[in-house]
Amino acid sequence: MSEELTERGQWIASHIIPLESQVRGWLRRFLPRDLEVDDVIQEAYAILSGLTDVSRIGNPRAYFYQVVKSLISEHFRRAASSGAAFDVKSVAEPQEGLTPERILSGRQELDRLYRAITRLGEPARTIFIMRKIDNLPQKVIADRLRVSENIVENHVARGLRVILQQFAREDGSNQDDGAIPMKKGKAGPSNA
Amino acid sequence: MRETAEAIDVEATKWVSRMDRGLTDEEEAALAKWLSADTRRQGAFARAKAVWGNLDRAQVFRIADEIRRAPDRPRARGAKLVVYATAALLLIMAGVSGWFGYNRNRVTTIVGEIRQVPLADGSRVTLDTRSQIKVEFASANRFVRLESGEALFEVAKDPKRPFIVEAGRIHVRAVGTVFLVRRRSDSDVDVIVTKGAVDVWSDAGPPRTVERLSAGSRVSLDGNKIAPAQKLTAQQVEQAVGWKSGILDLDGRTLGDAAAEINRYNSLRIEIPDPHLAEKTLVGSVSSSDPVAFADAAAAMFGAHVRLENNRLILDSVTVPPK
Repeated sequence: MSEELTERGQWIASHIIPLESQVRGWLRRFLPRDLEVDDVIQEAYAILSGLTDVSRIGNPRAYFYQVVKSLISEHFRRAASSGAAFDVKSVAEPQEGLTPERILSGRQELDRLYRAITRLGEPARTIFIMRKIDNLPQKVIADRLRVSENIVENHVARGLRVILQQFAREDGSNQDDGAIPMKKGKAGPSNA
Repeated sequence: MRETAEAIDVEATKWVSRMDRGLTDEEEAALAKWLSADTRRQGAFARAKAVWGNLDRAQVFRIADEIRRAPDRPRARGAKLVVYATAALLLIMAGVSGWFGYNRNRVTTIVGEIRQVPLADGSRVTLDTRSQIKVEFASANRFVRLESGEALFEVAKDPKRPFIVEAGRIHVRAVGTVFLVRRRSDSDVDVIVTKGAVDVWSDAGPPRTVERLSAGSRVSLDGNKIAPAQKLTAQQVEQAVGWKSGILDLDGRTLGDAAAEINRYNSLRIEIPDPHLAEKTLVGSVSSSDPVAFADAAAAMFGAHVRLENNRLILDSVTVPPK
């Protein structure tokens, strides 16, 4: 694994993932009916993960929106015969609030992660904790839990899937457990 | 029929899980083939990998106890949010270490990360922020190279296989003990023993002498010169390994100094343009991973104002200087 790829992965995790739910929300409002939010998001990640030099992207948020918009524009160009006169570039993305958005989104991210992990059933949760918190290799986990490596592998995949779903949620909340109040109102905007 | 995004996501997480346990050559080829068939697959895979890597963060450790205690169903936990909110910034703002590609031999921490790594022999290494080790265990000895930064080694007893740490030109040999090695630069290294004893030598220049270093003492190599061992007070030893807990001891430090120390651990940097403010002295301790809390507390203490600008927390004096 080259250094460059590692850097790009770090950049995606720290700058793009936290914005994903917001971009999804925006997409849901502006996306033409014949496009799926999930598809656009996957295409966007394909482009973002193919960038050679992420260090030069000063504003990842604007960049993410730009990528998504260009994907939609491209879709329109392909379907130009339909005569759709919708210029997605003219649709403004939401502006950053006055409050330090990234502080808030940071808290939301951890909140989401926490929810996702607590939502995992057993043994997925134990496996997740052993793998990610105790930093044990899958093989060791399988030995300790006396299950096959294949079972561990499947639960890792399933756990990751639940976490990804949580990250995709627009407001980071579960339908079933209500909103978690932000204890420290100071850093969080009231218009969230 | 076109593959659904959901089906792709499911498959992508499976690949990341397989990759996490290590791919066979056949699987590598199968993955490459799978990815090449659809750009959406590449995107889904990149996303899943990035999130999986994101979870490696040392910051996750801070919510570990919460998670372990958590019930099967989520419950109201407003108060708990505070517990882990302190670490939240880093989760997002710092990079991700080893986000993918589990390398058995090399362990690296990124800015703000403090990571504990169990080794195959039962020993444990705790890496400080921005550090790297390479582990090379053989049947005759257990060899670890500290390539950069600082690490605390808790060595499992095994008289038949000495545990050797190399940091630049300094070598430390232990059997069962706890010691810290810190590379201040390429050529300057400190070794501090907190438990047991180690043998230290340097190949920086003749004569090559081996020095026995006991608990509570420190030896330093500056360039080519190895300084005689120094006895440390219990408090000095504690301060030296204090980073392990993620808590910085601020007693007697200036605000500017403390900010510089916290900045070592965070991507969100604290700046104090006003030198008078930077000279204020502090008492207490603070979490090294929470620059926002630190800046808020400092602002409240000294009547300053915090603003966020280009990922920097700027602390300005707002009080009118006394006449």
